[in-house]
Amino acid sequence: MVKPALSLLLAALTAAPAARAQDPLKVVTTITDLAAITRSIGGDAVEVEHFVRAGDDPHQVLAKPSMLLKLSRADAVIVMGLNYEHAFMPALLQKLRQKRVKPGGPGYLELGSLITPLEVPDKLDRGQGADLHPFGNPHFNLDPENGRLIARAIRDHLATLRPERRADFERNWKAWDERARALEKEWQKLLAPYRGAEVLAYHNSWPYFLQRYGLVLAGTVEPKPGMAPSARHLAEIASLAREHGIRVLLIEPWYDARRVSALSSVPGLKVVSAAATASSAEAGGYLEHLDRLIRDLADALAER
Amino acid sequence: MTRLPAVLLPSLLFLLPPPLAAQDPGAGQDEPQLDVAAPPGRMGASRSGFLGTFDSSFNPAIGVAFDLVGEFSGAPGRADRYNQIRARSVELNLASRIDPLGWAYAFLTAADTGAETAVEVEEAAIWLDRLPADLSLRAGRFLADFGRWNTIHSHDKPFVNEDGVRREFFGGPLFLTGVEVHQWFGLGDLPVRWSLGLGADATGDDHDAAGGAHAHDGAAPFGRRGLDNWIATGRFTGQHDVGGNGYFQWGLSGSYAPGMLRFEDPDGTPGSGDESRLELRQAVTALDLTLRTVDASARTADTVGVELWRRQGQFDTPAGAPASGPADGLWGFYEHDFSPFWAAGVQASWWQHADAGSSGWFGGASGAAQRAVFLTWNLSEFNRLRLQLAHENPGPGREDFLVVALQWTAILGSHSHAIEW
Repeated sequence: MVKPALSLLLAALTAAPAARAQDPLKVVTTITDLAAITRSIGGDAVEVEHFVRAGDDPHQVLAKPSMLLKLSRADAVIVMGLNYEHAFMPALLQKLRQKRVKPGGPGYLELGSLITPLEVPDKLDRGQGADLHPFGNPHFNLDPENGRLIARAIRDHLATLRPERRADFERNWKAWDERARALEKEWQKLLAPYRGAEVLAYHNSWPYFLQRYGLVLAGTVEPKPGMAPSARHLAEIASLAREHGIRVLLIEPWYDARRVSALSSVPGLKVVSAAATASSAEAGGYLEHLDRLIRDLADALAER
Repeated sequence: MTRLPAVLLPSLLFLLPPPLAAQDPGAGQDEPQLDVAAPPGRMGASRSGFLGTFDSSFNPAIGVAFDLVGEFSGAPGRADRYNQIRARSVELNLASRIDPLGWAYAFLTAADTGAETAVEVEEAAIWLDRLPADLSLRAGRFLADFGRWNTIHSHDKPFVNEDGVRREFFGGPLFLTGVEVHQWFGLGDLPVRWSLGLGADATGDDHDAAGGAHAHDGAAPFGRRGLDNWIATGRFTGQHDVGGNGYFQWGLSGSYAPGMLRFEDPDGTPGSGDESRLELRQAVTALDLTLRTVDASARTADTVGVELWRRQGQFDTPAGAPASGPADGLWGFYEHDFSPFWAAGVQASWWQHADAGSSGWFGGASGAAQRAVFLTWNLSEFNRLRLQLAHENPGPGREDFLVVALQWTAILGSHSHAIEW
């Protein structure tokens, strides 16, 4: 008597409500760029939540049980992969029991497998930095061509999970992709005069972006990934910027700009604040974020 | 002479070098030569035969944590602990999945309390984490799920020393040898979790406790128990989201040990007989509250943790007659992370010695206290220096003293983040 009652209680407490075909798909993404693209393509067929807020450093995000609850109730989980979400996803996936949204499950989509990663380390050695990514640099979302790959994969993923809405996803994706291609032509034109130009970055988040537009990373303020710069390293970076006439330093908003104040003496060097993922209700979606970033960058490169 | 099991002898034959012809069948001919350096295409079917099965693919994740501490004080009679630099703990940890149903881990620790050095299996447990209804079961020796901070190893805590309440009531972080069942679920949108533990052995193990009071050889507060002399623990906790990246967590914990055991009290008055007491039974309850807010856009964080404990026990006394009485303890800390690299905070503990003179609810005259301020410099995620100034008030009849502590913690190898609750 007690055992069946206990089982019923456990089932009532832990069971996720069964999804019906007319209900929106519950999608959880890690970063806002993925959430924005999913909303654009999924339309009213999806309800999207994300874990990393716009402008937040993904390394600082806590793995919380509320995230576990959201994952356990989700129909689809979309992540960057390549250790981008190292701070929280492995711990959550280890505890998560719902196979449908775990790696290998029908609802799980890891986008890192779509691309050929850059900067895969030859050897894994903490001497190379504290913030190392063994599978390669994970900031591939900053290349708009990769953004198009991401959008296509999300379209297919949603269509697999909700085949009766395939035509809607296809239509939404076409509209999104046409806009992406048109913007990309503009961006290529905007940055074409600066091909080969050197830039500095605080953290090495930009290899895919820089490669797309033929820009060159001359150095990073972090001496090694995840390490704070010493005064000596800052002096070396300032000297490099002076000697090479570098005009742009890309810095994510979560890094303390006071740390680069030593570089303010470099003539012509402009600090461009740019998050590696920043789609938000205020800033707009993925394409809007890239558009603003590229225009800011072009302006900074144009200044003499 | 050691005898090898008979079954090993045939196996050893496979390790002997084969005849020359077997090693190099194509020597001197135009056939492709074997490239012994080439990686095998498939495990267990490599060119070196079945020796390929014994590669390292299934080895557990391995990590080591070094925790070096130097404590300097003019405290009387504590030369065994203070004014020296010691490797408080060097911890080797191993973890791996066993199969799709569970995983296992072990922490092997060399601990130096100042008075003694011991190598021990600090934790070694198996987790079955694929049970229905998000139940999981852990068995072995492990840090008990009691309060918010008991399951966190000393070197991972935000301050240098364990809080005084835990040290007084349990003798340090509480380890159980037994089983613990956990379940988490959503109460609406609120994640909650409960656990129940049953231990045949319980040990309070503090790497700072000197003089053998909480020794690693079994003379710890709870001592070894049989199944007729067990300890039970339980916890229920919930965590509310605060802002986008913070939480407020509450928890209720309890432990009950019905049996008779010897309790060694390092803070007992020397010569009075209360350094060693017989405890007849003990129940401890605790309320814990934790607020953590993280501004990931500025990379700053604030954490406040408070735990209120009550211990109800029955003890023998120097006079010989068993006595009972409640004892309370309150401890907490606040830490502000200025950046991922710098943090500072305060920690304070107040507790009653559990003896006949205590009256609970902070009454009585047997209180002791500990206060500390600390500054932490994270050179990286794996390399940390900490400076702490502490004021210790051991209780009536004993002198207050100051302690300056330096801590250097380094972690190498395997590294992961856990869900915070």
